[in-house]
Amino acid sequence: MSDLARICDTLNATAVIGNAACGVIPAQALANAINRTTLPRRLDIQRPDVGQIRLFVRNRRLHRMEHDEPHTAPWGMALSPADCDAVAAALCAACPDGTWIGIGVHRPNPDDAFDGIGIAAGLLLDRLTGQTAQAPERDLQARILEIAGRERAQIEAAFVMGDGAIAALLGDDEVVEALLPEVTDIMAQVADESFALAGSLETDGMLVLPRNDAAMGCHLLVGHLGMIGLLVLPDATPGAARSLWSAEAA
Amino acid sequence: MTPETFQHFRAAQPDCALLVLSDTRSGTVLAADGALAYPQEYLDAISATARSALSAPGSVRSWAVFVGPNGAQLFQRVPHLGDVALTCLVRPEANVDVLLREMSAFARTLDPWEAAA
Repeated sequence: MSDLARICDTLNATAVIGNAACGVIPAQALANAINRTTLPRRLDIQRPDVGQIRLFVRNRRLHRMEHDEPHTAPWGMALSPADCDAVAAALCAACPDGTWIGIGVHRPNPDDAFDGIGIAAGLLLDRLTGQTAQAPERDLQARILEIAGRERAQIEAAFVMGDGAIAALLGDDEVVEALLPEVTDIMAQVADESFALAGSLETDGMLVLPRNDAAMGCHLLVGHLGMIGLLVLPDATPGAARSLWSAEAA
Repeated sequence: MTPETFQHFRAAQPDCALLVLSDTRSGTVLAADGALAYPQEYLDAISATARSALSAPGSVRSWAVFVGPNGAQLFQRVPHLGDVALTCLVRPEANVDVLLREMSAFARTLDPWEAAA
């Protein structure tokens, strides 16, 4: 048995199994339970009038949800951030008053599916608690604009993408128009579920890529709660791009 | 390239915890050297990640860097062997500019089929 397998077995043996919350619980507790779940777990939500809802959670993300009765999407399908509104609506429909009676945490069966990149707990909480879906966009925009306020000379243009739509935050019109085809391709690629770093980028990572047809400079891609931002840095090295964003985050 | 030259390169980069050489098209890990022994499926996942990171729509990228809270992943395409790539896993605060330069220079010396033999 490898060291990694042994560590996983130990964590699985000692990880919390049981009731994450009991009594009448609000959406906040459900999101917190997802946010605390790193290893693959099945969270069973109990409610007398609708029966049991099963949530498949791993790495603080909701990957799939199932119900005993036949249901259409988003029930029983691999979930991604694009499904967040549908998931929140389905959960709210199953529980109109916004509370559930108890959350049970169980080890999943070997054949339980954890496919797709899942939905981050924070994003789901935003939808479940009725906070505006505009909040993540404003936050990422604010961070990018704050950097631009300090380091405008380093940034040729900046874009954000949410729900498949791309908006230019910074840059002259001609520059934005010239960059848009390349930027559109890159953002569509990194937001796609098949992109290996899509999940990490959405939560807490940054990706630095070379610019097409340019000997210098790079693109810095950052994610936040389902939004992706791209900064075009004409002169920066990968290390300088990382420092630019890290300094802002610190 | 021999396994020794591969190990020597990683040993010369104190921030490098794992170095992987892979054929990204077939997903084959050609060589790996790390501070710890990693399971094959982990190395396969790194190869798949390198393929994603170095594939641009309609073209290819020569390099890519991903930085997360627990470390950074540096991907460097081997220029004379289009689908072969080096991946280096380093601590978050490592000097990625220097490492990328070193990886690029090392990549130009590589003949991965010797390593796989």
